[in-house]
Amino acid sequence: MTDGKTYSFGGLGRPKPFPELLVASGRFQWGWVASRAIWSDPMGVSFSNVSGLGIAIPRQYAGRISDLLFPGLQAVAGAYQAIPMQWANAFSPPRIDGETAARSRERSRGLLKSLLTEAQWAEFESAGRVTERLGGYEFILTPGGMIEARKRRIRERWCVNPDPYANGNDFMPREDLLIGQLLHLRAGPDKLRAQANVFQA
Amino acid sequence: MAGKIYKLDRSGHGEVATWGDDAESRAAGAAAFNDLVKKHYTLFDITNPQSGRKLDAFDPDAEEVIAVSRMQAG
Repeated sequence: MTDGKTYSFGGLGRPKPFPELLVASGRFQWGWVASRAIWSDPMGVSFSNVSGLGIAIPRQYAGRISDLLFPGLQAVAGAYQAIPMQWANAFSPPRIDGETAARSRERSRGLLKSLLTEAQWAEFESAGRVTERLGGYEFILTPGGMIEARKRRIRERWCVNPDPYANGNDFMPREDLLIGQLLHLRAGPDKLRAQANVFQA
Repeated sequence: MAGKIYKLDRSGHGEVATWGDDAESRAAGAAAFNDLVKKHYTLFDITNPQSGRKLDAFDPDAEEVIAVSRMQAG
């Protein structure tokens, strides 16, 4: 099942025939590529990282071992893809319809607007961030989860997000993230700082 | 006077509870409040939006309460 060409992944490995059937799953393709990744150390001794486990194996054995592991990896990937969609959904966060998403966003924008001064709202509309001044500090809030805290020479970045974090499979308006940050900040910056990853800027 | 609790979460905003002046609806509001606290939500009274007062216990006089999920280091 080869196309007659040979491929070298990233220029690191020896050329291998590329089995076209494996292209069906991008994830599995990369697993396969990782299992075949071969590199050389500065002393010129070659090793292979078989199945991406970080186990260094002399190059002369690498091909054989990865060939032995390969059918097993293929079976695992096949089983993963064979999971019925309704079972997969049971482990995924719920998806919401567009109408609910639009309504939520509209409401969260209204809520955020009511929490901000006119100047802060204008800043959010133009720059997508909110500057809040509290206790001599200036906090710059961004929907990405980063808060910049400034006071004279003190400059910190706090990385804090709602838990559970909303990722691509579900929905939380960006405004909600700001509302959460803002209200927790107003309730007590020290408490919020204690929950965050703090970086000195 | 009537009050509401809204929850900000990833399934879209939802009105969790409303209450009026009667004891029964206030008890339902308090139950909803305690349930959210158990789920680690933080509740804020935004009747006066600029202050955003944090609520440690159910306040039947709050007109609008929002429940914000807990924060974690990102």
